[in-house]
Amino acid sequence: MDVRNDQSLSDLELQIITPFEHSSDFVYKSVFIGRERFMAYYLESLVDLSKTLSVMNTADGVMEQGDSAIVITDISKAILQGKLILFNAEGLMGITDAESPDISRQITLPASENPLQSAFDSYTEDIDKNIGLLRKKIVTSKLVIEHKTTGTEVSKKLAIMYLHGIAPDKVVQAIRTKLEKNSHKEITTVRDLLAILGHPKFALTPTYLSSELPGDTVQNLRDGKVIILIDQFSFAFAFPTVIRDLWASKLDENYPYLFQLFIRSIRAVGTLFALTLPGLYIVLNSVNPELLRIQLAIAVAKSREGIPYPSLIELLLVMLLLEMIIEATIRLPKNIGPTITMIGGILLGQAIVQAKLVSNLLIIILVASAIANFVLSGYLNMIGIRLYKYVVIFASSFFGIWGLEAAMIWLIYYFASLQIHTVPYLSLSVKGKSLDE
Amino acid sequence: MNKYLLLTIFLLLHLAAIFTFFPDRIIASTSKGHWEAITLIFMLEIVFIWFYMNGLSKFPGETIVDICLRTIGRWGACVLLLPLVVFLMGQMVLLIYYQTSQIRAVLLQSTPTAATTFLFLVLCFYGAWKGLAALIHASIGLFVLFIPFILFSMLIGIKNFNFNYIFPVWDGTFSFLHHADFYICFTILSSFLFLGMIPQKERPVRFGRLAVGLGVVYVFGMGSVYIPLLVFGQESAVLLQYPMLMASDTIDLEWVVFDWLPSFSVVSSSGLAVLMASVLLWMSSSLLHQLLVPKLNIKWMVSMLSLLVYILCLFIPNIEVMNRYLQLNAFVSLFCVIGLPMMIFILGRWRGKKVST
Repeated sequence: MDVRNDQSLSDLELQIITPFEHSSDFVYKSVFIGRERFMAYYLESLVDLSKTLSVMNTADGVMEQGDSAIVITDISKAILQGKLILFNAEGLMGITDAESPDISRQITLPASENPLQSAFDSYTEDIDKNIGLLRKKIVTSKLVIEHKTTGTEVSKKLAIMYLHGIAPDKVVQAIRTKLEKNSHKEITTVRDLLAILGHPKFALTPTYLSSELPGDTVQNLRDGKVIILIDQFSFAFAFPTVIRDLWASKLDENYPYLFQLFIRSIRAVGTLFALTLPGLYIVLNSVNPELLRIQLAIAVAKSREGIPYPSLIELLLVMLLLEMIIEATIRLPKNIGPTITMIGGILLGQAIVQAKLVSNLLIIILVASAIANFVLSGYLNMIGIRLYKYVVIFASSFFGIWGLEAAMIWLIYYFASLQIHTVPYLSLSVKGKSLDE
Repeated sequence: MNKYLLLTIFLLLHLAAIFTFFPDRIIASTSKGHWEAITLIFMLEIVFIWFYMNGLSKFPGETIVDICLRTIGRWGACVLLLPLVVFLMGQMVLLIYYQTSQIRAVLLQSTPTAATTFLFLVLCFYGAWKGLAALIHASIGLFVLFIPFILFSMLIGIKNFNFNYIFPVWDGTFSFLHHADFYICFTILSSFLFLGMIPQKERPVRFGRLAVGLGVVYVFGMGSVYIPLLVFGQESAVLLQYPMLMASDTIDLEWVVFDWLPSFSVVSSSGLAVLMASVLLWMSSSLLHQLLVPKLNIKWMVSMLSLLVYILCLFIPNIEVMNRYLQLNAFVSLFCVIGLPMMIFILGRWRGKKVST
């Protein structure tokens, strides 16, 4: 029964209702729990009232008694979080955890990662479910979980997690102080979180690791990283990153040590190739062809016979095409995706060479560098390398092999100067006992 | 900061200096028993390092600038440290000039030196801007990137060795002592001075480890002299401007896709030289900043000095003039490499006495 009768409501109740005037899913009505009559205020999209009442009736009216110090903003916040507010006839108030309608996703297989021979469950959007998943994976009392809320207008639940005694205190402290200092700022995207944590705005390499797999997160925790979970994000973010994360996927640790070493060294070599191969093509083609053996130099020159523009333009054209194919394949629905791969394959494979628009060798270099790029662990890591490749290309086209070298030195200097939450990026481990700290 | 990092940068700075100034000077300074000259230089360096580290250990948590400012006042500090700045700047200009002319000779014949030097200095500027800590961290990356090239370009020479050129091994007269080129080699000893710019708390490296590091440097130093010597013999090697480079040019390796093997040598030595020039730039900016204008942001100092170095580099007309400047700089280097560690040692003793009385 809807009692929309403003005269019968006390001032407090009026204050509860006013902020939700324009929300049509806000409901207030009188209900019976046990034999007593209550006024209930809640959002019907977040609260399943009949279920909640039946639970309460069987539990014989047990409910939290709110203390008198509760302010009105707390009440509206509680309503927004899906709680049920109850007033009895004497004006005593209670906030109860209500049963929610089933609007969160079930735990399913990961959608953006492809685990091999490990646990297959992945995070959902519900932060409590995610924490539960982690608790199940790492059974220890040393796992510290701190809940935080940020934002004044739009509030967001966060959880900071780390292993006590393993995560370095200075890192935990740095993250905690940043979050506390900026707790009024709002988080809607991951970049907001990074801004709150004070990460550089134009970093070339991801300053965090995101993972969909709880198993991955467990390894990150054991490595001494601090994990931040955000409500309604099906990813766990690990801070800080070090250079090793470019090629070390956490799931490698399930394999025998020698295999892990092999896989990781291939990825590290892939990083180097992805960076240098396109630059090297320009160097050997147009600036320093004398570096090559004469037979090879002639073969390279021959493959470019009849191509009307300089190798830099040639490379940039095909690179642009390749980047577009990559982007298109990622965004398209799964049932059109293969079309693009096919068209791209034909285009980049034979047609463009036969039309004498680019050289044979360039296609080989291009494909090699693209494959090397995808060898890296993590989607974000790939983008950084993909981007820096262009710096290498331009430096090489101006200064030849010396430009290529200068670009690599610059990258190393950049990495060396990067420090994320007091941990230098060029460390091998966050924990600080290893070689590089 | 970890001890391996410091040892790595210690090694790399020495290697950079060795590949730039060392082999041609040693070969020019004596015609027999080159190892005596090399050994003498490194033995002297180990003594100076001991004096330096011993003096510094009496002042925990202070850099050489703090020590001088506190014990002998601003004027005393200026007298002691300004020659060091002059030396570091000179060393930097000559290093950059030598490397860029080598790059021009081997890799980029048609690119103007001004452009090559510009790129070189931009890198040094960026490195010095980020500070010594970043440079020390970068040394690991550069080590991984360039040491394979260095070893490769040194070891391929073995194929063409003629071991008869090693004789005569003994020179009883120590004739190199009368030769100016021998004293130029003292400029490479400056590579340990950076240790005084780090407070002891962040410098967990003791004399023993440095001595081991210097042992490795000694091996490379011997290699850099003896490889061209064993390939060409004294009479030819003394005529060469870039003996190390030419030694790797004599090799033809079938299985390497690259024909022009000296480029490995140039790439690795210029890479290390970038690191060294960055450290020198940071050191001189930091010294000037602390001695003269502590209120100014150090980044302004780095910018001004880079500009100055760039202009100076462009003013050197050719390699003969560079050799003359190198000799001038060698005098200053004797003062800095010998005088500074001794002075720090004496100040340390003096302070030790004051504390005990």
